Amino acid sequence: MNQIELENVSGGYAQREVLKQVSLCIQQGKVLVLLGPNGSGKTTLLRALFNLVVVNQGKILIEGDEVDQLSRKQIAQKLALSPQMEAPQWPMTVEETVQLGRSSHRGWVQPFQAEDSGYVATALQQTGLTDLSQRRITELSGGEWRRTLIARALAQQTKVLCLDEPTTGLDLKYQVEILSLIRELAHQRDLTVILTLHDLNLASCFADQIVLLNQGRIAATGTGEEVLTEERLSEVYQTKVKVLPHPEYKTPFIVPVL
Amino acid sequence: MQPRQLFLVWRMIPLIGFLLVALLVGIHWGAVDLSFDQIRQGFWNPSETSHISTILWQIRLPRVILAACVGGGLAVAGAAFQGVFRNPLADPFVIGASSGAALGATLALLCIAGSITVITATWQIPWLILSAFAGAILVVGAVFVIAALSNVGRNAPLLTLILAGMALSSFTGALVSLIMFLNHEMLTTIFSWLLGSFSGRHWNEIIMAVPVIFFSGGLLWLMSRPLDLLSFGDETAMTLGLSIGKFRVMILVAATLCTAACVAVSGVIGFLGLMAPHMTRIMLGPRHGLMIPGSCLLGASLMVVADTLARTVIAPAEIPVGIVTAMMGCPFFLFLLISRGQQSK
Repeated sequence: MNQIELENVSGGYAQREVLKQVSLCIQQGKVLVLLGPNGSGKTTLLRALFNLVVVNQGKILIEGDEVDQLSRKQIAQKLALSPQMEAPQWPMTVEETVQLGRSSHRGWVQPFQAEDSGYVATALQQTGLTDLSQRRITELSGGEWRRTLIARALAQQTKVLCLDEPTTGLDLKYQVEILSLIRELAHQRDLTVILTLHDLNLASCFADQIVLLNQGRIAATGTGEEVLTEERLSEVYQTKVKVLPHPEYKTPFIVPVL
Repeated sequence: MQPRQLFLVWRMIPLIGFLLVALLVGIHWGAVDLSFDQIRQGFWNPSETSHISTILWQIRLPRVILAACVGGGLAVAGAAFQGVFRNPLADPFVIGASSGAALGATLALLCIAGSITVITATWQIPWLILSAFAGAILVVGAVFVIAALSNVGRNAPLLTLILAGMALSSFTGALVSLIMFLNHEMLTTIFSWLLGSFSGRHWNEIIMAVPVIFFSGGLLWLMSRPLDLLSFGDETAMTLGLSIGKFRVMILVAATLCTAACVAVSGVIGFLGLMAPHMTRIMLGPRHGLMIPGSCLLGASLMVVADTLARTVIAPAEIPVGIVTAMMGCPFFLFLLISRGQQSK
């Protein structure tokens, strides 16, 4: 079943159209990675799923419902986002921040329940934050803060998880752990994961489907082998690359040619 | 309620204790000191016509209750404005409520001084309160309209609100100054009101203002979770399920109503609405569910203490309470800023 469908979507911001005639089907239980150079529209595409940008043409369907017909709460019950950047104003604890991921499941007045605490504890444990749960978010390192944002998105318990550059600022251990966790959740819990990445080799290892964007249009979509070709990457990134087989997994392994 | 939430609620007990002590001291101290025995007897026999009972029920009690309610109201409004604007420098007067109330009250005082026949002596205070309230609501309403008109198709309503508030505050401030300049004989009366005071306030003021303060303050407390979400920025709040436009308007309207009701009965009392939420955040953490009631308790206590000092330090004369809140709060606030700065090194 197609969980998310974009039909000929064009849009972006009031002054600038970023996405141009994007059509895409995203299947349930798959890890989809959005790739592309800076400014190619990866983050705008993610934001469009949350009805956060202006869509001038086309429509976006989530589980068959048009996204602009859904309330904010309904969207938050279907999709969770771990943003690229966020600047919190007050120094809440890690646990309090993750707990706010449960907001859309409660009324604005109803206190959080034991069930919510369970989901929060699981999300903290999955992201390795249990020991830091009472630390103020202003005292976290960049990587710890990024894991907090991922934990908050996990606590939302949605069927679709969107992560905007989740590995930025993480050391190699956590990059691999987070991406392994995401793939495990997708395959075991039938969770759909959409993430933007800059690292082509991580994308090649972890993605079930890759969408390569170039100047707001889809340049190619398919498996790593289908999308990550020397000719296409050299054209999109405007730099020469060599694609070799990964020594362990035989997936495409991209090396820039200097 | 979960154990951790219960533990956090327990942390409010010192604040409740502080308020009770402040109220008791506020009732006890004054131009005529009431002993605790006299206070107890006055409470048990409210119908008694002794001068103790009169001081207790007609002067001291309404005054400390009003001071507590205004202090609590300003602190809650300050917490809400700081939350919704994501700005630690925001206070209850950030979008023009104080200057609007000042203009309304100045015009009302002019009418009273001009002996306009329809305003009898009984109606002078309600007339002043209603004018200040109307002035605050009108100016803040104008700020909203200007912000809405200038933001069509753009996405910076908070900044425009603050800028429009500053512009209209300056304009109404200039009008008040002009009225004072043209009416030398009214200078002291208007200036005293502008500095804030609870002198001569009775049950009438409580009946008029306190229901509005309680209603709007309670509404702001119910908005605690939206305020928590807004502290992470508009976009995050939206992705977590909040319709920010609707909630932001509700919060701003409730906070303005609360401020207007406070200013209308007490004049412009600065600093407390800025200071109390910060102090509470340090004590109870930044979650609004606890921080708002905590700010209310602390703001109420501090205002009762400030008012008690205002009427006792140079008794029988009184200092405007706004001067006391600034003189009392400023050094403490600066101490907090410096000590927090040193902690983070």
